[in-house]
Amino acid sequence: MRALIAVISTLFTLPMTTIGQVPNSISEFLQTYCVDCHSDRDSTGGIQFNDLEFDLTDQEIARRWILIHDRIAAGEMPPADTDQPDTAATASFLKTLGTAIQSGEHGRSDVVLRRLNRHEYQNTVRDLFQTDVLVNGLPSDTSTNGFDTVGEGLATSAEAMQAYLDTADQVLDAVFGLPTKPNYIRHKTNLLDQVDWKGRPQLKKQIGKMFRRTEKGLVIFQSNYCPTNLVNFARLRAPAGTYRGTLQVRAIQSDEPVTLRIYGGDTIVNRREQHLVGYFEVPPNEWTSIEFVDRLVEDGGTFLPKCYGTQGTRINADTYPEPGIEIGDIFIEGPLEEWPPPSRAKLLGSVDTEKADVTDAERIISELLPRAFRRPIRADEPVPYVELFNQATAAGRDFESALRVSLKAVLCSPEFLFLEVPGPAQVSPGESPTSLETITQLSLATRLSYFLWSTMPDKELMSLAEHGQLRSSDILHQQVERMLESPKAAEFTKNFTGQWLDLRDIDFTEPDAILYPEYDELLRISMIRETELFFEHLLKNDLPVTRFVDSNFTFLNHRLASHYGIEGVLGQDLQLVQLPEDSPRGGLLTHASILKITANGTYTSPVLRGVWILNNILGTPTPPPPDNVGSVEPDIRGALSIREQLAKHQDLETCAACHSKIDPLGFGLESFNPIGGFRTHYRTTVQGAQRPSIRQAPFTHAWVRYRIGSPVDSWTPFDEGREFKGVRNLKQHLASQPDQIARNLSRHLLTYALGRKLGFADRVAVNSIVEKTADHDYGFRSLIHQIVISPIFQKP
Amino acid sequence: MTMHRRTILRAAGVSLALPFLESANAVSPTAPRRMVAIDIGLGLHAANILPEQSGRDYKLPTYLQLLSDFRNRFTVFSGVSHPEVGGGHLSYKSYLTCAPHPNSAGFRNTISLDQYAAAELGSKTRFASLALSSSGPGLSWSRSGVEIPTFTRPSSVFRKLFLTGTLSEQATRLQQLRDGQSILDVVTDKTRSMERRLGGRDRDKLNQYFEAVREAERRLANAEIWENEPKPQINAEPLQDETDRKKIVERMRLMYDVMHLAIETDATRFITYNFAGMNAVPVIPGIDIDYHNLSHHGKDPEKIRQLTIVESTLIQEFGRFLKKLHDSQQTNGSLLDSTMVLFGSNLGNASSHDTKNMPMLLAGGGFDHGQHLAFDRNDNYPLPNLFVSMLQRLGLETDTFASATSTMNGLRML
Repeated sequence: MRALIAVISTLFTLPMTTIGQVPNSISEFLQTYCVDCHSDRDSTGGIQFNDLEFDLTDQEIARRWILIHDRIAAGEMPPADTDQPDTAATASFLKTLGTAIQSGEHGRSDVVLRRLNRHEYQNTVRDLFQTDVLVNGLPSDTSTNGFDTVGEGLATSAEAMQAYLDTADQVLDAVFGLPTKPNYIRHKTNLLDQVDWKGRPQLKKQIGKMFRRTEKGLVIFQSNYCPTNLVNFARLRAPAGTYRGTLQVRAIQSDEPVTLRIYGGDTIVNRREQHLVGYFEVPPNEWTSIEFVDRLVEDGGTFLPKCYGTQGTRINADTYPEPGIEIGDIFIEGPLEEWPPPSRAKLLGSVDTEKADVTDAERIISELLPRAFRRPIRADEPVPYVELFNQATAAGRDFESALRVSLKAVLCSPEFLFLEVPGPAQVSPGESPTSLETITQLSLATRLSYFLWSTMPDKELMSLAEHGQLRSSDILHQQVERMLESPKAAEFTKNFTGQWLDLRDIDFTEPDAILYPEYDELLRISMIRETELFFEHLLKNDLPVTRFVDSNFTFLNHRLASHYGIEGVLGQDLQLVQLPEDSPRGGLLTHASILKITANGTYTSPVLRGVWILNNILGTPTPPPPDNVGSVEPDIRGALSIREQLAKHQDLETCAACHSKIDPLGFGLESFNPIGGFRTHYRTTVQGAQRPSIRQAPFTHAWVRYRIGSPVDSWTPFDEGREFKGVRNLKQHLASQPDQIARNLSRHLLTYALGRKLGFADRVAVNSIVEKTADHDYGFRSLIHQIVISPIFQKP
Repeated sequence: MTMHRRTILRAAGVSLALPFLESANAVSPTAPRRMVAIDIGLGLHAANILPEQSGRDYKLPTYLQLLSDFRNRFTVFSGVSHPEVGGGHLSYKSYLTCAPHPNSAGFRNTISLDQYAAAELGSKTRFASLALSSSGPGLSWSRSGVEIPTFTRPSSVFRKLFLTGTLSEQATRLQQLRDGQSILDVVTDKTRSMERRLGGRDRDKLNQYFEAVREAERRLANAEIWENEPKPQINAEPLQDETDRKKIVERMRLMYDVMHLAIETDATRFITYNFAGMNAVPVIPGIDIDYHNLSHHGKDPEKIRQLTIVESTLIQEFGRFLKKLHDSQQTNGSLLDSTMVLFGSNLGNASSHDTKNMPMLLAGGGFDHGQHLAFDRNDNYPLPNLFVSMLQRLGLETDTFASATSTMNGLRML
């Protein structure tokens, strides 16, 4: 039979041989070992050689050849039950193909010029002018290879250009400040004092029903609808700005603290901006004062305090025995910002705008440009901006208004908006590159700064770069330490975890309210915080990267601990918690955030979770289905459990090629529901199924309407005879691959930091970083250091 | 004829009193031609929308029965798709651009149908085009292949279209438009000089920026002209958004309402609307499985049943939109007569992510409708040909668009 197939296969002539570019050794190897199976449209894995070209400068063609390279290098192809090439033949094949792929990539040098994304823009204008402006209206950025720092995807549309013009106005409004000093408000009030627009007591009708009147103020029990807006404050039309609030409070009818939450903004009508100010613990019996500082981003905002996790009443507040919070006097003052804003003097110096002229404008612009462009400037560079000033004054505009035109142009110029990394083809106006393959020290300062701070380099980085001292490993080490210790490094945590772990997608789906009635806002923000703090803890303490998948600690507050079934965690501030021996938690995969992101709100899918682990943790993504696949229509009729449905996938050879890698990993997390709770049974809405023992959901007190469904089965047959049952084995399986995890993390970090896709040729650099990090016990902080001092970080 | 006639519009429970705005059209010799393109990102169950018989006497399948009033006002196409466009959900990127291989590593998009038309005809209205979506990215792409940001909130579109500031705000706005033009002049020069220092793909990147600057400059100039024209007056409270993301029907209706207003007031003639679907259970009676999951029904009868309910409500909203266009009578006929409405999905079979056999429908806009144009479901007819017909209907002298080979076979202009 095999002889017959061999004869037939020789009848296929590979078109690529007719192109004449394929080295013979490659062609022969494929003819001998691959073409038998990979010759037509139904080929497994979507690889078919008879229409595969060899133009390796084409990204898509190169991607497929890299896949072929990797499958053969991993020994996955040709399959064990077919003719095997000997080691030498394989090595020679891989070498020839590898070289060809690399040289193809060389002709396709990736974009090094990249635009600031909108987070970086926000931070950069803040630091450039030292103003606390919140810009809005910039279009969202496209993410490429998982990150919005990758130049290739950061496109600019005409709409974006118009948005930059508008945003520049917002920035300059903040820099120059309001023309007159806003009223400073000192507002002392009490919930009892709130009156409606006619001056009638606002809450009078609810007293004795929803609220209890006391000597000091009002007791509130409500955690859902609670009309305790500070309407008197709203009526003051407070200007946008930062306010400090102080509330006298105590918890009553409770032995434990009761949680108070405060919202700010348009909490009355809910049409304009509103936001959470925070959750606060209110101790029982003794009066304490709660202080908050919050920014109202629009004029006329106010605050709304209400309980969290309590059960309210609407009929008998005076005799109601459940826990509540007594709120006494309230004091609000602000806006706390100085007027005129310090940014104004910072920019203008001692200039008197009434008398200033073009010389002053020229000086101001010349001082701003080097910082705005993150490099020294030539003498003629301010000219066009000064010219704009002149045109405006000639048209009768005053100094400030004319200067704003110039500054607006600076903020829209390509040198501000693009991080220019001078490469081989470029002549840098500053320091000349030491070699064509190395970026300038100024570019290095910029790259480092946007990597760890998501903003422009500070004075120290710029000065080191200008004096040519930044490139030394010692200095770089010192700077990375300094930068990671700075509060600005919070941007790295937020932006990197937001994208590496997809935390930014946490709200992509809303959990089904019937199935998951306990899901609430505090749980959502706590789960994000858990993952961020965990990430920072590993970074701070240089813990091995394998802790990302398996750890015996995590960060919890009372809400999240209850969700995880862990007792003894008090308060709503997240704290480091040692996990009990028998807890399935520990490691990213058991964080509620990750479990929610990899589910869809109603169901979990082992496929989605498995794909997530392959992409985000192991870095061995399965290829996307090629264009001509997809005509296989799934037919799951008659399948019952999720396992049975997926077993049907495995029956089809085209699906099984990838799903045998994906599904077992995903099944390891089957014991966790879409909001990250542990489960032994699925929840269902099928009528007639067994009712759960609780009538109301914890914290939200919503009525429980779901039923108990079939039991969860997280047993999973794994590749190559390994087996693991549930999450523990999954964690061990992953943690046993430190190289793989470190390599994947390096690739993500490098893509994020360099702002370009990594290519085949970058594998050498990545491997070297991983090797050196291995010497430091795979420490996460060491990994960051290795990345920064590696040659790849200083190449275009 | 009275110039004081007021049309009462009911938009989301809000009464809008609209002055008679078509006076300009009444004197112009030809009615303006318009185009709306809608994509249902999670597909449309083929058996419910594609008729079995071809020609004029086809039996209306489930979804088209919901549009039976307009039977002679639309053409339904089967066996059509964009050549070389695969990529599952990502094929939305090519829905109006026809650019091949949207899921490939080096994919670069090309100009979308609406932007192509808007570049030629857009300056005749206050807004050259409007790109809308239910959430996330839309269907419109610039000449340099850059995604055009979308509006997702009907209220912001409403504000943009109808709200005018105070006199001093208007003066500021005019000043900003003029400043913007001189600023972009400088930026253009800076970009050119920076470009000289760059090579390879960096230069392409900056060139894309340059194109954006130039286009923005052109629009500012256009906006300056329009700034002196009063915005259409509407005596109504601004539209209120439906904030519950799961109320997809209500949200869609609001978007259609504002689209209709934009067309009726001739604020723009080119609109795209990407209805991206979602991974949650929509608030529709009888639905308890999330929409994305339903679209991957795997032939499960219960899922198909629920999917049919969801999609039927979407079709009903579409029918409601067609009716509003039809009921807006102008001197040269109804708005539906002058507006081509393309409706369909980038997925032919959402359950398998298949992009062949796209379910497509073209309503209104001055074609001899009322048929099912059936093509080979195994060897699809190029859908880009329809786009050429649409461009010609707009009065553009072109005989090609993207991978089109001719105009649409069997579709006759009126």
